[in-house]
Amino acid sequence: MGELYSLLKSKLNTVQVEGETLYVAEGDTLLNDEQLQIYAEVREQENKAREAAKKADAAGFGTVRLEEAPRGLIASTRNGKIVRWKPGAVLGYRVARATFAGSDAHYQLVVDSMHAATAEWEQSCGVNFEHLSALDDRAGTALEGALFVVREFDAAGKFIASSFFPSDPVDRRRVLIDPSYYTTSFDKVGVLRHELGHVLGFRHEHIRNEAPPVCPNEPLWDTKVLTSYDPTSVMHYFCGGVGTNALKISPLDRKGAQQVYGPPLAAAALVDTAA
Amino acid sequence: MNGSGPAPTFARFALGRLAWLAERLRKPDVTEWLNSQPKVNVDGTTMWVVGGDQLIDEDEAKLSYARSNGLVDEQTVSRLQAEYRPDNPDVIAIDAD
Repeated sequence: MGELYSLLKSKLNTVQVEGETLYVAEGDTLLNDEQLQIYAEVREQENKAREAAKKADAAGFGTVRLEEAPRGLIASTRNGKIVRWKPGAVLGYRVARATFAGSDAHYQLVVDSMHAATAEWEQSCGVNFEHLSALDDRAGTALEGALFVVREFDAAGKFIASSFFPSDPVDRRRVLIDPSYYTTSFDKVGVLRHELGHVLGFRHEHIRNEAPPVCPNEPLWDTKVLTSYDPTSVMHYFCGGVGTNALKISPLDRKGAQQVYGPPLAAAALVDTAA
Repeated sequence: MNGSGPAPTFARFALGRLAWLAERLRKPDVTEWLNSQPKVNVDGTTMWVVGGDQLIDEDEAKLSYARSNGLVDEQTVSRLQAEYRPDNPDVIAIDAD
């Protein structure tokens, strides 16, 4: 048996369908053991061809480019359908000032980072965030009319920040900021770009089969692969030598996000005006 | 169980429909697994940390365990997902293709 087959057999998530164990490849493809062997053989041949093309390029006698689909991102699904915010929804949020342990500097850092991160998603696809700053000084952590609340939460370092998916219950619409956020080596705006990716319904990129085996694994059920594997995705952890601390929105992220939310609304407005 | 609120999660709905599975998930292997996983208490509710930055409640953690360990088949989950009607007017489901 090939090395890739053994690796995939040990790493892929499995499901039981009518008593048969099936391997989940590329997020939504179910393979039995025999099919997995064939799949692994094909993938190994593709990898060899890609390596040969690179060698030809390096030797200067060819610019062979294997076709690669320019796509990226994994969407969260329910019953096979992608769950997203309604078109035209304003994703209004409040930053609960009182939760920031009395530090106005930390509150301001989160406010500024949220502004930058939301602006970048708005420039990437058709979503509209709004900071409802008038609600920031309200007591408690309730939504107070916002779609979600951003607040400090001491998770004892179990996460830097945490968020939610569109399909989550209303009472779970919160972005939690652990105090480790203030000292993390990750880009602080990048951390929020990543968390807002979840808020828009996107799953981790590094859970894909193509990611390095050392990357954290998660079940791929209830997901839809929108694009080919993108190690530079904002949704990819820094693991296995890929991903970055910057957590930037990649070109493939934009393409994948636009499959779900369409082009940036500002761009659409320009088109409407021109029409 | 945790996770009560104005809008029940899919996991709560599913375990409510699959009494045999809910019963199975009360066995010690599940309890031990739940106890071994990282968790935090948010506003009085225990939430399990999955994937490094996502929080799920006890129902969801149990259903995840069931799916990971083949205690429920995916066809049953899909059927229940089709029946599930979340009270969430802010979101829509669109075709994946």
